[in-house]
Amino acid sequence: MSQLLMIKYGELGLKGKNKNLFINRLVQNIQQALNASGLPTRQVQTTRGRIMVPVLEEAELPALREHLGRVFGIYAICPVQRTTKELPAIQRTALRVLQESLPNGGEFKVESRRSDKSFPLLSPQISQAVAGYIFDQTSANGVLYRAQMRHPEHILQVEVRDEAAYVYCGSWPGAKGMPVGTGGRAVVMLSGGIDSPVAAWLAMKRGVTVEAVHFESFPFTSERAQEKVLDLARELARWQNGQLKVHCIHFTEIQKAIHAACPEEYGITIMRRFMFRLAERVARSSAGLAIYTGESVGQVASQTLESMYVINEVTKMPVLRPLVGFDKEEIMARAKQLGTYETSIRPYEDCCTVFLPAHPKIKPRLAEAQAMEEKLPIKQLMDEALAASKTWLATPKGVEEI
Amino acid sequence: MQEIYFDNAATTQVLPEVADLALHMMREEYGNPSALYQKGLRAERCVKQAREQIAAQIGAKPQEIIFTSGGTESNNMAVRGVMHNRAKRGRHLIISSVEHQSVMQTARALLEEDFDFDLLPVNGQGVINLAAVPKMIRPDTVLVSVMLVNNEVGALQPIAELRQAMNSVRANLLLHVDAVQGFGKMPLDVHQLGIDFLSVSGHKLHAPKGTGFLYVRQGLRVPPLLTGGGQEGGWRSGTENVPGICALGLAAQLAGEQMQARREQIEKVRQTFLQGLQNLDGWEINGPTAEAAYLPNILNIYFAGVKSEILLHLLETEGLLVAAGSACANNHKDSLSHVLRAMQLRRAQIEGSLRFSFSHLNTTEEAERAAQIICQQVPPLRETLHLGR
Repeated sequence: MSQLLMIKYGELGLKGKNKNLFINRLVQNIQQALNASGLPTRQVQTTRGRIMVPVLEEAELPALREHLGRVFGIYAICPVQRTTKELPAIQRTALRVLQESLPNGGEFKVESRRSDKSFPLLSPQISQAVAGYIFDQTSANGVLYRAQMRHPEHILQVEVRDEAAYVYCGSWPGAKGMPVGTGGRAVVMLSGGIDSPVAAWLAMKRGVTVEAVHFESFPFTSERAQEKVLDLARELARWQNGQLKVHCIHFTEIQKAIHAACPEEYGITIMRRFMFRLAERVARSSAGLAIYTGESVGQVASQTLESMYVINEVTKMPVLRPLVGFDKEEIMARAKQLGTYETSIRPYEDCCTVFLPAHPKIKPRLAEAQAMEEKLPIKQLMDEALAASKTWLATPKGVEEI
Repeated sequence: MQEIYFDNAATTQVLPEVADLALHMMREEYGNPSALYQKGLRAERCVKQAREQIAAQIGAKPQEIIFTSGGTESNNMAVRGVMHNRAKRGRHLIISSVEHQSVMQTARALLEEDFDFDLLPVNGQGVINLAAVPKMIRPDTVLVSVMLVNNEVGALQPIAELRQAMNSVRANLLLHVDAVQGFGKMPLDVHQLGIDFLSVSGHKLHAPKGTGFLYVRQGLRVPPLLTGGGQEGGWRSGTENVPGICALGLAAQLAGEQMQARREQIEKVRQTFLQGLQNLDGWEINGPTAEAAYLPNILNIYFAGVKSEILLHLLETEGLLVAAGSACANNHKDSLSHVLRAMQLRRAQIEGSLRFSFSHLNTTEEAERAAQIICQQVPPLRETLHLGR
């Protein structure tokens, strides 16, 4: 008898011709997560369309659950017992599995399948034999199990296949989404606030490989603000096969130029237009095709539809805003689940508040913004900003400049 | 690029001979002072020597010195300890409005235990208002705590006069003085000044961090914060930080021996620095400027038209390390220095202030260069921030 985790993938099954591509990628990602987990090494097994992860000992289960819980594309993780294809072995295993799932008794149903048609019992007979055995063994010792045939809450599954028999009951939810690497490439603007890490996570969830873009304005922003972003990146990297690149763009000269040349209330608008231009440049240089941001509608002045319209105008790349329909509370809840909330609320300046105008323009006009920008040497400012920038690779273990 | 360390009020570099002594105690004489064999005795002797050196410096007896982990622990022990011990006589405490957070927060924490405290106001230069003292003393007041030298602006507090003012109301009031910034930098006699408790921190004095002591006048008691093996006469259990204590003892001795020479050097550095700043306009000193009213080591300056944290980072890029009166991270009242607020400085003034603090290791060349850096960095920053004067 040995233990395994069966990986169930949901949506991937719908992909038809691409199915193999996705499954291969998912298996790769699972293998990477296992290798990085610190647990003893093992190979992911794929037989007949099933993805199985060997479990070397019971004590590993919580750690395995945690690491596999961060692999996108997994619908559910099912702890499975594998045993020989003999009825007594199957019965004993089934009892054990049921007792682990329902230690205090309860209602259940046995469902059996056999793909090995040479097995002597038919599926309904297997179910009866297993259920009968369980009732025999447990009726005397005070833990009560009852059969529930209609809408059973717990289903004890028995599968008799060619190579072995499998028994399982219940599963843990996976992170769902699509495997990282199947969705293309994009950049995400990471500010260090509460919202943008959640947006980054939602990008990764649909299989998009992201690189982060952050704007620093030293000395107007503290180096601690940048460190905060790198810490967030390290946390997010755990969902993207352990690696997240962070481009820290030196934004100081651009901020100063805008502050000197443009009327105060358009400061934020013009600044955001530059940020989007720079994000697009970074995307292009890394084969990215979209820009993700943590914007939602209506939270701050730059997030009215008028502002979005004027700011978005600088790029033709899709600007994706996963949080656009979320309330602040919902975003905060997600951030707490993700573990990024505590880091995000550390009080270090990001570059948006030192030059904050007293009355930012909530409904900017495109023609006005464009006219103001004419005074600025846009390309030169952008080239200089990118030249003075640094790129880091964030992993759960630390960050490295590259 | 040359580093110019002008943040000695925050912490100081450990002197080579002090570090060597600590290392020696770590590597060779690592015995536990409580051990019965010679190796333990040797370690104990070093601790004893340190205690005697320190006691001599402040006119105290060795048994009145309790070694602690630093100023914060000493302040906690003194303030909490006295209030708890004297709770039957009274539950009121007076502290100055410019005390260090380790005193301020301890007083606040005592409110939860039904104690009460009042803040002794300071004038625009950060010096306590002596006239207010007798009026603030209540029948249930048991302790007054005022620092010797203020850590942000360097103001010297009139401790002797404070004691007199206290005595004029009642003789049995206790006086605690946080001498973290002053010890070793000016003559200090606890009996002359009528001090009952004195807190000192080693790392302001070129000794390692995690060292310090509390002077407790003989006959007075403070309940120990740490109970256990009975070290420090039962007042502060825990195996003694022998390397730290010996280092502190040596650092204190050197400070005492070199006090005058160090002071002269620091005054030169300060004057050279101020001289160099004459090339810049729109700045003024926060705190006392009359001679003998301040400790020359600490200098707090308001630069009009800048934000202190930004200027701090600009100076940092040129190698000059200083402290700010506020972090522009939170545009919140609470991030402004409570000391500068108690001195009734305007918000803009607090947000534009930097603290420069010198040690005898600084040179006049550094002072010149530092002034030069400031004169170069401030005007463009003012321009950028468009805030004018």
